[in-house]
Amino acid sequence: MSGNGIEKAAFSAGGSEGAGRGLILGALFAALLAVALGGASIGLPAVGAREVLGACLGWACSDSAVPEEVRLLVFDLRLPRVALGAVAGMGLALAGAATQGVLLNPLVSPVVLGVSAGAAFGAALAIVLGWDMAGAGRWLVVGNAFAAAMVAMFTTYGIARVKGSSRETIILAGIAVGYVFSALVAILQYVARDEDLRSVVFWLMGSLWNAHLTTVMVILPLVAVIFALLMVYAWDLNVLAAGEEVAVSLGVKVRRLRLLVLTAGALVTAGVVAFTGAIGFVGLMAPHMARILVGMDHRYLVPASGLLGAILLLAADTAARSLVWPVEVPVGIMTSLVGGPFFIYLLWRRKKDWWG
Amino acid sequence: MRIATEALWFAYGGEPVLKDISLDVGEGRLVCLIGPNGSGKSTFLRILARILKPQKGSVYLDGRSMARFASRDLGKMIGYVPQHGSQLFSTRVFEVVMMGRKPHLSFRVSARDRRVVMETLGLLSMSGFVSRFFDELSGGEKQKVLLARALAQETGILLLDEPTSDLDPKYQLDVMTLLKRLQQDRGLTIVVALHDLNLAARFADFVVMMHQGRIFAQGPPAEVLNEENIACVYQIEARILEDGRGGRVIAAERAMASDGDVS
Repeated sequence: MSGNGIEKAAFSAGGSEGAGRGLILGALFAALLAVALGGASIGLPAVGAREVLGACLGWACSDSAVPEEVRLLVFDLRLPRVALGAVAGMGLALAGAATQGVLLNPLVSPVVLGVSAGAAFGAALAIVLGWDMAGAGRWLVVGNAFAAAMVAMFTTYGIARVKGSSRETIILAGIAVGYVFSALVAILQYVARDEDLRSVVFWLMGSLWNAHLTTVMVILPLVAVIFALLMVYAWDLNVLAAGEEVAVSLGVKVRRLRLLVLTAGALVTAGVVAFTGAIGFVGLMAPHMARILVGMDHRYLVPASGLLGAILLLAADTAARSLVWPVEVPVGIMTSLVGGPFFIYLLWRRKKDWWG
Repeated sequence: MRIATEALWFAYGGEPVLKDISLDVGEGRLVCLIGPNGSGKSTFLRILARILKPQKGSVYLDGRSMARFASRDLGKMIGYVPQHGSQLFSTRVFEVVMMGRKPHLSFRVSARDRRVVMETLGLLSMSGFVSRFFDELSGGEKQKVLLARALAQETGILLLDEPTSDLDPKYQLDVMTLLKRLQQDRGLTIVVALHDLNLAARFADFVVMMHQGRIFAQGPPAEVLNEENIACVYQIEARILEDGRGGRVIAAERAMASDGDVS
């Protein structure tokens, strides 16, 4: 048997036997395009997939065969939302893959570092202080959420650093910081006026309704950076799975890697969550699904996680705004409602453990 | 390659566990570290593998201080097999051994990387295990795979922390015979911590006996492994028997009273 054949056989680890991992990535990309097309067509009024494509192509060659109102609907409403869903889902999933990869723990996502709770506190504080979600106030809410998320992250690191930066310390410190920020959010909810409370609760549920292309443009670079970082350090993450000591003896600078990857993960999460509110489960679930599909090799696991995250959030958002018409369910509720049972199903089905 | 230490001191926090360790391991030697639990063998190996940093003293590779090498380059020079095997789930033997190529890899896996992995597995008679899951192997098979990973690193120095302690007698002999062969055929410098004095006596060409964080004795096995040294370090009465074929067998007779020697 040639080395290549063996690698193909050996590397279908944990995934569908025989199918090349490159093919799986291609299929995921195609699925993402399909879900995006669906997201742009479904809704009220519904637009045919042909017309969406026509609008997009027409835009590319500045040919206006498609009616003006369809173009407006597609470009001003649907596409920004679809793009935000894809980019946000990708960011959350990559951040999840990053945290799980360096902390060697299948139960963590940046939520565990206290980042989401921090962002929630920042947003809630801004809302209670009277900045509304419309106009310039929105940016203050976003900025405040991001800043508070950073405070939460650095508090977690500060505690972990003093105590030696072991994986357990980071996780425990993050959970503790998260609880403190959640308590602060609860206090704000308790004292908030009724209309502010409504905004806070809405924010906490997480949604994509406030999508603009500018939002996408802010999040996209963060997502690109973490993707590049994870791909550059793919092998470092692969050997880290064998334990810190082995990784060190193979030339990996474990502490630097951990700090770099966790920071990137927290930055991306903070960036996404500041705009969308707390969207659960995508960061936890997408990497698990990716592991089932392509195995433990981060060179494939990272892109697969990102694509799956985008697909999951886009599909969830499309469902959230069309299933119970005319009510739009916040997408955060949808991801948790569907994600939880699906996750249990995955745990049930999987044959093997990933980490102890 | 040659690896040497100069006046190493190390403490995990309180009392030093390594005190003034100076050792020179010449190129192509097979050195056994022996000593009771807590004598500092593992800590010493972990410093050589640069997992721990000594508080005082330095490690030299071919006469150059280890601190002056980049960590990736050190990964091409020193291989390390830890005492407790990795817990690797959903990972196939091929992937585990490929990890050893990490210091040589950028992103893509080259044909040469694949060849080294397959040749190493062949060397250990493990070719048939290539697509098995690592966590489904027996203790002895796992140990061989972890050894294969370190060998795939293609380093000049190999450090092993009690590679035989969990294995049945056949695998113990297998692993030690293999180390001897690697030393002789490839000129590897090997430092291995062992509990089994008879394995050390049979396979080492140099024995370092550690006791309470210091080097108690060092030299050829016949010199170091005598009844007085064993009594003093292990607190047991032992007899050295000739096996009639030029080898020696160390028979532990009985444990000495614990208040015997606490120096």
